[in-house]
Amino acid sequence: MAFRLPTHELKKGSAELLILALVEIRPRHGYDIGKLIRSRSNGELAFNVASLYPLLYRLERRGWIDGRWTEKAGQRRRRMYKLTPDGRKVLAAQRGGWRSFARAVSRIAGVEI
Amino acid sequence: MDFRQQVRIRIAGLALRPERDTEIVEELAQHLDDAVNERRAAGESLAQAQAAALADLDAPGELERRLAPLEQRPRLVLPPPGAPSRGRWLAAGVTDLRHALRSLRRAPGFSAAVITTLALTIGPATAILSIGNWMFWRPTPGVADAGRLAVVWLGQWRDNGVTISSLSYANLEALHPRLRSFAGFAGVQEGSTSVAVGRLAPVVSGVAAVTGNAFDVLGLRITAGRPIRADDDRMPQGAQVAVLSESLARRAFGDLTAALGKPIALNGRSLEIVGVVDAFRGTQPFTAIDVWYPGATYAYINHLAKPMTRDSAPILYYVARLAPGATFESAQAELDVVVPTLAESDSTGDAKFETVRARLFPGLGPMALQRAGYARLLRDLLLVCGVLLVLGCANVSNLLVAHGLRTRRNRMVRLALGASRARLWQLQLAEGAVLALAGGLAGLAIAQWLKQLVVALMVPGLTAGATPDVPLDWRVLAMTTGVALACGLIATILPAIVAARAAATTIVAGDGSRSVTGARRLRTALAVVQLALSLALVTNAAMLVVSLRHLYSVDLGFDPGGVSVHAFDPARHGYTPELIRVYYDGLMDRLGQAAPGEVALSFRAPFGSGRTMRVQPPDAASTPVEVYANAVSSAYFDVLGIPVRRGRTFTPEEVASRADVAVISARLASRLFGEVDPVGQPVTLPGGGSSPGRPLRVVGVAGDTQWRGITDDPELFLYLPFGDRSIGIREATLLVRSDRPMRDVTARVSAVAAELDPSLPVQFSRPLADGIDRALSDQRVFAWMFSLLGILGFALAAVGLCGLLAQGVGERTREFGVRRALGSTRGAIFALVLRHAGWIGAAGTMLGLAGAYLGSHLIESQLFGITRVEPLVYAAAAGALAITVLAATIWPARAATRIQPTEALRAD
Repeated sequence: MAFRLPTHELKKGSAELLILALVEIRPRHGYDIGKLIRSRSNGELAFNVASLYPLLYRLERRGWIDGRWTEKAGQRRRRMYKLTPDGRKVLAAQRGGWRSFARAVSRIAGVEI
Repeated sequence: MDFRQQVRIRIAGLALRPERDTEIVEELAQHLDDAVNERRAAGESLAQAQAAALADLDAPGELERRLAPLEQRPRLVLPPPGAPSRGRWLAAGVTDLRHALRSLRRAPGFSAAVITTLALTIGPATAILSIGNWMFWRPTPGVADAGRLAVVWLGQWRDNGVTISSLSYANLEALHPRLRSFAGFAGVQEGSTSVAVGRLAPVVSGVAAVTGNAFDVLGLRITAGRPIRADDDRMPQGAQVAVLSESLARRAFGDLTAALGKPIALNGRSLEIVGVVDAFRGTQPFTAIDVWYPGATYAYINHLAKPMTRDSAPILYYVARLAPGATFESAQAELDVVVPTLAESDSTGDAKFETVRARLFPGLGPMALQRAGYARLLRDLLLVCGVLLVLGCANVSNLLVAHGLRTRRNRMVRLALGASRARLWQLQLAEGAVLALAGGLAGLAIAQWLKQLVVALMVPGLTAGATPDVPLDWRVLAMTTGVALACGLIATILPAIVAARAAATTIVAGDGSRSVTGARRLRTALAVVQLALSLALVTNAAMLVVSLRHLYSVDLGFDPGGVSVHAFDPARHGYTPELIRVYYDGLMDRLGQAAPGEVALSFRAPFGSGRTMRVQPPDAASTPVEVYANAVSSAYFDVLGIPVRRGRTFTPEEVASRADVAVISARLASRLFGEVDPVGQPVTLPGGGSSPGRPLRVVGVAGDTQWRGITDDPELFLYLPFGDRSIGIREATLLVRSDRPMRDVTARVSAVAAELDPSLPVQFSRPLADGIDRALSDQRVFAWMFSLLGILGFALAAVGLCGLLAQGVGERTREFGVRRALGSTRGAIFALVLRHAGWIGAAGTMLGLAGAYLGSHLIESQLFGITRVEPLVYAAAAGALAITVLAATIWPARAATRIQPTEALRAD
């Protein structure tokens, strides 16, 4: 049975981390990011267009990711997002935060991760 | 399905910047396309896939709600050009300046008009200010603490003038211990003398004889060598030393110290250069002094036959420095008490000090006796320049209002983009400041030329070599900058208010070319003020020009046309009286033979200084009459065209033998003898003290002449034969009447003089009529300046009116078009514009005539032969204004007649 995260806040708080993590290794475009989140969470997590892109723009404005239009032969031009040095620091900090948060939750709630 | 359109609809409410809008639409549409493709690949139908993709976009408004806080800023920070970045005023100032320059470059015609107007108004003001600065306001260069210095003149003061007296060295010695209000009291006699020094050719230069304490009293700084000291200045024979100005030392020797110990020749007399003085060029602005020498050396330099003694008084001009604590009033009070005591002082006992009084004039500067006159002249000229400035400001204001209306849309966009009103004001002030400074700069260039012209009019007859350059120093620059900025500010404020109102009442989409009622009213008022002011100026100028014409046509009692004056100075080159007589006889022989009755010798020439004498009427009991005296050769009356009323003039024999005969003027004749025929009657020159008087026999009565001024009553005149012993022969001028050009006459006289003695040059040659110009210098300055400024004012007003009307026609394009469509003729349209101009002209005329009447108070003292309420002058000036208004109307009115009905439709 599909399990969805219970609260909107939890999803929102984690969404930034997810996106930053996905563009850590290489630049990705918005559709790619949305698809990866859905596929890697086995459909547990999904963003629709109206929430994904505002989130991307917010991260971009904070200077954590950098979106650039790039063109490849035979393809439509796409806006590729890559992690900035600032974003890398934020990602590291958020990972640490999530780790300790998840541990604390699991210890209290007895949930295995 | 085009997802772009779908996305666009969903974010339309955000009103994003176009490029950002496009970006978002593109990116989201692409996402949706990708989603559809994926679903199709998974086997869904196109319709299903598209519906799913659209569902992903959520309900309309959702995307907008989420994007709004991100993409739409609460207040668009997009700065209006020139907005300060984080409030740094310097950066703001620089951007304002750049903005101003850019926006002015975009309107070159407008900028040029404003700058030209400002230059033409600021230029004259700067010229007059620089003259005021030069004469009165700047401290005399090189002098220490000039504020504590005063000029002192001694003389017998009357209501209408003064007979100047001087202090002998004995007088000065007696005076010094009695003057407690003065730290020092020195004599400085400034004049011009021929100077030969170093590598320079001999020229007439400014030279001063000074008492030994003068350098101390003035507080001069010596840059090389030493000053003139008390021990250089001992009567009867002073040291043969001189101090040079830095300027002369550099010109003559290149180096200051190189000048020391070298000789310098004054009137051919050699002196040793002992020092060089820093910056100082004399106590008065009109003559730049280059050489100073001890007063006791005066006799040597000027080849005086008689040696001087302690009772000699070579110096007429005194400079005094106040003692600490003393005031100019206390010093004057002390002089009033102390100077009369010279009459009873044992060593100097001089009867003249019973009537001679000293008068103290605070500060150095122009000749103290003429100071008040110059001050008045300057004040009046400044007032006129002020009027012109107001005129110019009105014009610039007018131009700025028009410019403001043209650029209104630009400003409204700025406001819409979030620029504050204060910023708009700042930008406009920056534009005003840039224009003002540019105008000021151009004005300086005009002033540079105009100031010398005004000085030449104000102080005519300055010796060529010594004509001073009026400095444009930092004071003048500061004043000009102040005037320019004030103009810029005043001219900017009104249009800025109008502009601010305009921006507030009109929306961005509005028509930027429409005027605003307030602005129109203001511009019309400005045009009226301009016309009024320029009319007032021109009316007064016309009065002055008419006066001047009257003055030039006054019957002087002689005819100066074709007469030239040539001066010689053999005495100062060491000639004895006997030799001088031989010299002049030689001149007359050579020149007079060729043209008998056209060459005369005279002690003094008209418009020069007069020599007064006292004449005892036949009735021994009556008081002596003060008269002007002149010693003349027999041809004098012929040359000047002075009629002989009774008797005859001098015979050549009487002149040769210096007989005891006299010719008297008609007024003197009636004063002395009433109805009795004076020919053959005796007159007496009273002797001094107990000595008996000198009897003369009257041989003729000559017509009255104007000697000093033109508007005064003719002077009482006593003529004696040339060379008469009561007058002497040291000074003389040669008067030549000739039809030939002045240049030829001068060449002839110089050639003859060179034949007689090549080392003795002609001092000066000039037309006698020059003297009239000199006598009328005030009137000439006023007439010139008023005319110049009045014409300028008319031109400015015409340009302003033309602009106003042109703008009005532009705004009424639709109206004129409709009128044309309804059958109005071109003539009717022309008349419509003309009527508008007519109303403005009429209002300007009424105000202007009233202004002219008020302004004529100012020039009343300059008027001659015309009253302040001469209707013809007012009518002529008003007529000139009407023509100006008409001229300014033609172009806009013709433009109005050319408007076609079709244009009117297009206009909106």
